[in-house]
Amino acid sequence: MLKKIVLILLGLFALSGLAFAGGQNEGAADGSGELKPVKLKMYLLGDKQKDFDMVYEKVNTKLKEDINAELEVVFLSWGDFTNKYPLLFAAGEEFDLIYTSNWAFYAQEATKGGFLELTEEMIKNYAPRTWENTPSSSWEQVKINDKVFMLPYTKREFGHFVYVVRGDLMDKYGLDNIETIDDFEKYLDVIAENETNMIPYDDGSEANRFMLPTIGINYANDLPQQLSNDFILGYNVYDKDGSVELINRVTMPEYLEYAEKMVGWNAKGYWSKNALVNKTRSKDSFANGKSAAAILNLGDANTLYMELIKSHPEWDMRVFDATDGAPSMPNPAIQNGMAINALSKNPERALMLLDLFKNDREYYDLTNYGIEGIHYESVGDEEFIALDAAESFPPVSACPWGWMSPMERRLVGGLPNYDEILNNWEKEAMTHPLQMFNFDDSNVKNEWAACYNIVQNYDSAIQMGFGGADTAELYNEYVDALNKAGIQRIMEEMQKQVNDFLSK
Amino acid sequence: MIKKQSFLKNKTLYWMIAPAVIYFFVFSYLPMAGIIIAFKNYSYVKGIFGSAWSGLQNFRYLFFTGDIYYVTKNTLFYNSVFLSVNTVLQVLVGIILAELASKSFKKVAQSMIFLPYFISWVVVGAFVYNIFNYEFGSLNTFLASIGQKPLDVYGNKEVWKYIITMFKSWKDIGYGSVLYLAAISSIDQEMYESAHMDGANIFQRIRFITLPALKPTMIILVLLGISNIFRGDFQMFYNIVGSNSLLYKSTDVIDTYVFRSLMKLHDFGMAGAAGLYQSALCFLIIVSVNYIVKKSNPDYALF
Repeated sequence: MLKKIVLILLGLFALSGLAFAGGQNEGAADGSGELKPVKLKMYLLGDKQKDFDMVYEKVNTKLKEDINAELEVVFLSWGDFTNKYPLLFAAGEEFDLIYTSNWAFYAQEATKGGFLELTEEMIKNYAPRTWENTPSSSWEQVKINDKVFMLPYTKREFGHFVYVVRGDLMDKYGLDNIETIDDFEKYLDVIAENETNMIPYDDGSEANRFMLPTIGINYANDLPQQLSNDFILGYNVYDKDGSVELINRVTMPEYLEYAEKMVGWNAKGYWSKNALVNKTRSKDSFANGKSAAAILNLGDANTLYMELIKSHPEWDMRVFDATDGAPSMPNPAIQNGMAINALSKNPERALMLLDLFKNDREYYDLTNYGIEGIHYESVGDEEFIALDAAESFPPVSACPWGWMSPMERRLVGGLPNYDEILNNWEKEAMTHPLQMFNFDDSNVKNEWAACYNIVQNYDSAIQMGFGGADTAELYNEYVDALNKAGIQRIMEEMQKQVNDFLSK
Repeated sequence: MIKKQSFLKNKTLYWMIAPAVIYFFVFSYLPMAGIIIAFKNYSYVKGIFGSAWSGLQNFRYLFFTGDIYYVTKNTLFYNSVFLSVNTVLQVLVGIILAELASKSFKKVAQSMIFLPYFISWVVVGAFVYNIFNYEFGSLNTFLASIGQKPLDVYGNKEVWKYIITMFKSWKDIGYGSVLYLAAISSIDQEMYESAHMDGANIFQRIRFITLPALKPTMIILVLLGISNIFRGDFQMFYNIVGSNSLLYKSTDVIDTYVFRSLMKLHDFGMAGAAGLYQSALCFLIIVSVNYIVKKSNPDYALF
């Protein structure tokens, strides 16, 4: 009798597309065999991996058994997801699940009503394990106007950068450690002088900003990514009195100091004369042996290490912390997540699916690492070995980020000092006071557009030392142009909103 | 009554023009109503017509920094250069191809010149990078092999005007020269024969027969070119200049400028404002140039 009631209720949910649940826990847990078959459509970001269909066929077989659902996955490619993503909602496309993040429209779509609100009731009923495994602070972090719209990211992770260098070359020139930017400079210097067929650090136009954190204008100063207008505005975290004062980084004395240092680096040929148009990532140049250094985040560096230990063991790739002791910040809970479309017809089934993906070992392994024995080999519960076929389904690459959790496995044979660096960051970790702040730009759109243009006109060129002897002049021009374009108005507006936010 | 008769009489002709009329009505006239987006604070939820009016707000970012004047100037400058250089080269190539005796060589040459037209700017952008790259580019590799010093092309702001014009011509000459070639082949051969009898040499024949006969085609093609003179070739500038911000001041055209300003904002209204600004300028210039042409010789005017 109870089962019948549950089924009828579930049917009602499916029909109405609304999800108000009321304690029918069993429905999700054991009544699954009798669930009505449904089709779920999920949007992920990136490009489809070669073996994706093969892996998801397995996923589908299991889903059919467990929750009687069939999953269809569509990828939005990196090139145009920023255009297509909002259009999905604007056009009222019918789908169920979508990847989201602080850099992928979370706040925007949540405020516009694109995502379904996930009530505590719903989560407890249809994603009970997720409810149990997610700390309450993470739920707090993903709230927009007091409502939850995504299952938060529960993996602890840092986005900070490390220097990646060649051990064989360090030994050859008698360098044994890189701790500060000056050590890094020494390394680049000997390369520039002695290894003339190499570009010491093959920086590209998109990578130069990675240098900023290394000189004290560090990550901790960044506003949440989507607000920072490409790194012009920051705030001073060293004032610990609780006030958050916005600063225009370009006007900080450190900025000009840095710029002048880079003129020297540029002149000595640490990077290419056409670095401004260089589209090759420093990682690829390093992997090809064209350059002797790269600046990457720790995860990226780890993957690269595993590649190079096979193909070029003689290089003896080494990694050093590039934060220079500055405070570190773990990625927020909105860094990666999954949301449900407000128009979804089967939100409860979508939640059940996410609960499985996030907490069930088999689903987690399949979606992250592929098929056991083909793409990877598990080692215990915490590690894995990538097999040769992993090229067609690289680990953690088919956009499983939205449901990544502490169940993550570590690659066997990664960086020897991986844990050491991570622990250092963990020790210094602090929480970003503006993590959940959202900037409403509607009053300063024109200034924003004008400033954004100016930043692109000057910033890379100055930061990479292309101003040469005229750097100071170029710098003054830059500051003037920003002032003329109304940077002051943007800052006033943002400061006002920040104050409101903090006083809440 | 007369109108109806004329319709019946020319029924087939009307049918033939119908697809073009429908095409322009649907894709060029109907969307014109969307111009109002430039004056609106557009939001997806409310749609084009439901969004609130915002007056001239969307145009402000173009004008208040004054940058629009130099990007407009650049757009005008580049397009005028392209138009004049390309017209001269296209006519020249058209005439040379027409005068060539060997038919097979003519065919091969024509195809070779035409080919670049089909290459996407993205690919051309890659060519440019691989030719002028300081460390690995073919230009510097060549210079090194003959014992010369490498050239820092990317650091030199002055040369890019010429490089851009060169690639633009390289890509567009084939297309235009075929149009002129077609015009030349329709010139009456008897004129050339009688000129030959009167003892005119090849240059005199070109000067007094071919060029005057090409004049109407030239004027029409130039007029059509002028109608787009405020529209920068976005693909070309975006792919050749790329992220080389040192060149922005001298190579920014309206399209690339607007693209960069709005890349992060995704504001349809502001993009619409820029589009309207360009269209208004183009409209003004084509109407006035056409008026001047009409004054001097009504036969050559577009409308």
